[in-house]
Amino acid sequence: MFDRNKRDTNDENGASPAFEAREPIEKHKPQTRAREAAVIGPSIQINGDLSGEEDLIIQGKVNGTIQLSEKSLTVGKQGQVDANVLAYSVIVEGKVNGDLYGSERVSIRKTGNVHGNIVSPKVSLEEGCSFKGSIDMDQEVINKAFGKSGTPSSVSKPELSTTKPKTTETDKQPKSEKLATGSDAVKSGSTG
Amino acid sequence: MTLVSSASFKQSTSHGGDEPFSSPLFREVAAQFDDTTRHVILELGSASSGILALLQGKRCRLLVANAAHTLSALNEESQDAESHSQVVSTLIFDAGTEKVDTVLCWDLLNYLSLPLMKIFTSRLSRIMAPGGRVHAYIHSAHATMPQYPQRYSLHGDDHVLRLDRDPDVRKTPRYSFGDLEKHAVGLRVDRSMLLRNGVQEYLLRMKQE
Repeated sequence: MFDRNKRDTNDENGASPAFEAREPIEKHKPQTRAREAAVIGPSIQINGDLSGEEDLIIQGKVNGTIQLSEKSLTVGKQGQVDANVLAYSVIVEGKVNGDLYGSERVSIRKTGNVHGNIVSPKVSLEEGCSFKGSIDMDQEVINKAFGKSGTPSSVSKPELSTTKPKTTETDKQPKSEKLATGSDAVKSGSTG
Repeated sequence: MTLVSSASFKQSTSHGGDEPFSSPLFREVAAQFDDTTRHVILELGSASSGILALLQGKRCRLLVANAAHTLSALNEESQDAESHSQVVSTLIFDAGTEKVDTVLCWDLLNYLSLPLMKIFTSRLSRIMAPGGRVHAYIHSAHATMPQYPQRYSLHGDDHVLRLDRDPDVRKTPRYSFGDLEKHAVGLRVDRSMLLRNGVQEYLLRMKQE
């Protein structure tokens, strides 16, 4: 289901696997070098919860939840994500209908279209992107969402809803009620 | 209420000008955003990098309605007040269990008919905190204004810049202080200032119950 791209390989000639039997023995040593990001290709659709411990690029469709607590998620230009996302960093170039939790950063690129809420200490929106929802950069809310250390943990991470988000429509209300976010836990204080 | 007029009004034909401009009332509003008190801000237009930069490290939550164009288009739709009210409620979502402390209403009020302004401000007053504020820009010095609401962003620490360059224009209703007092439901004009580029800057406050 996952299409690994940009894998490191010792095969500088790009030889086909069909010729592996004739390759030097060194070729068959276990690959110890770290892979780069896993990719969900444009033709792939996943319904359900997705978690992992490596960087992920989505060019296909994902409906459900995504948890990459210490890794990065990139929703590519062709990607369509209907899910709440928890990751170290999140980059959106495609469409997302759901809430984004980035313990380090959330970036919406100019081609990105996000309908949902963002909780992250650093948020950037490129000129030309489309965003509707809320952005919370309040450190107390972030700490509550990711645990006091600021690092997502299995104990304190937000409880991601498995309910399928509503269809994305520009003028619909973001589903802020879906996650027990810090914003619900923090009482508003009017400074007016 | 204090009504302040800039002494040296600079004629401009670009409806708000293309130069960054000083916005004294917004500066006062922004001074309230800090790292000690939770503050909820509603941006009725689209979010800009300037606002995000301002809020970085502050105890702030920014709601982005991205609704200016849709709201301005409601004037042209022949719906009854109830239908408009439902649409406005959908467009301007609330902050959940929180209340909105500050509304950024940059370049929108002029694009609403007076009946629609009542519906719009009535919705705001339902989601705002007591004592909450609305910061607004209104084209008031020119006979025409851009065809659609324009986007603005912070430029540097204390200036505002118009981002859009809409060449098409329409007649400006030139809403006055009195119009706002009469048609802004639940709000009163706290301060107003005519800026050098012909834009009137307003600070409105929630009326006390």
